[in-house]
Amino acid sequence: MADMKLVYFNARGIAEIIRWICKQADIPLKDERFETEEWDEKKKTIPGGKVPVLLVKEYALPQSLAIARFVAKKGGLVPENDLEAAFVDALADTLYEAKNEFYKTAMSEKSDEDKQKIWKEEWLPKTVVPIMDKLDKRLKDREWYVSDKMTWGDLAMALFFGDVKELQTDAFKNHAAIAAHTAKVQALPKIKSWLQTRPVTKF
Amino acid sequence: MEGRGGLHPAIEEVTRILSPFCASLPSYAAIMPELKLVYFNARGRAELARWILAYGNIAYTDERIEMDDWPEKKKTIPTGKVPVLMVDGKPLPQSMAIARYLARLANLVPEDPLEAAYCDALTDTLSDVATEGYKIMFSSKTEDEKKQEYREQFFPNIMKPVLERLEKRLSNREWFASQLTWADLMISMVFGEVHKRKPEMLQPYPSVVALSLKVRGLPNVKKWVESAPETQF
Repeated sequence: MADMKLVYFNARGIAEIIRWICKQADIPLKDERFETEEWDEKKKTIPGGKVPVLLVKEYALPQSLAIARFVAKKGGLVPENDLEAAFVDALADTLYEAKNEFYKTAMSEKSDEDKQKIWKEEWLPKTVVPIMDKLDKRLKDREWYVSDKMTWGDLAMALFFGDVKELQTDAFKNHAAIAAHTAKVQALPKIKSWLQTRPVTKF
Repeated sequence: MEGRGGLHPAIEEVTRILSPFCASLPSYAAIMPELKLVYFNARGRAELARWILAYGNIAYTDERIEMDDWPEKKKTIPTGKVPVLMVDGKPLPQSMAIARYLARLANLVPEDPLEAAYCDALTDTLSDVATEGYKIMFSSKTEDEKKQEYREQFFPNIMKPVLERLEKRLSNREWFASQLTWADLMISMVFGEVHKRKPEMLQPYPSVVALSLKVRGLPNVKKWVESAPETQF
């Protein structure tokens, strides 16, 4: 089968989870990126006019989480058990919503200083910490988020919390289990390699 | 424990023992987990789950919270957010994760992963549309300002592009995918409601209307829609 192609801005954004899953599961993926200035022209060539989009065979699959779930299934990173799979979906949705709030501020007209203030003084304590509290508790006596092996939920977590740590280096001072889990996923050879070689972008 | 859906290990064992004698039982009808759906007394983000449960004839408790009781009730919910689906006492949050899980129980998710992904993408898209609609509904504008915003912003910019693509897809197929799926239920739920209130807006989209009405005509869905509580949203 010809390689699938992911089309997105030259950014991590909401497409990054797809890249992590494909790297970890050795799924060949063409990673097509375009610059913001090219978007107006590019948009006309994309069915549905939204990115990310996954071009697979003659189809164009939109919606970042639908794409993520699809490649995760291909890569054996979706739990067999339906309820466990649903809990991973719910986790991914929750992290997506939290990141969306972050992006809203990122895309606003505020100064960089104001944005940092909002992220650190509002987003972190009000949106992120409650999520961290629950996940830290869960990870205290388990290796992975759900089931007895790694799933795309663990990748989504490490991706999200890795970014949180970039924002505030001591973010996990009260959440040791999350710190350990994030480090563990980031140390996986294929993820580690991707983190070292991926394009460096603001978001 | 590995198995079909989220069934309790003891139930899996009983099912395994009985299955030679009950080969004709639909897989999901054997025994279901105990399900309780908790949400406001509204359709909102829980209604898709209710449609799927109704279609699949799956027993559940439909717990509805009045707005006055919400501040107290909120404290008892692990994530503090609704809808939440209690599955044998375990809370599953996130409306789309809930709907997708129930759709699996009701055999409304395609086997083929790519088809399933398309259903995911469509339902996520309609969920995004609903989010934009709720923003207007719950804003502090006047009723007239809201109506104007629906008419001048929401419908042409948010809803119309989705309708156009859907109409194209449905014009030469019976269902959104290769058989009836939860995607069809959501299309019917969303656009059937538009059709009720403003049928003229859907005049250019006869295939979308036809599918919406067809799904609403399915016996279990029809029964639910006719008997469900009337709520503001």
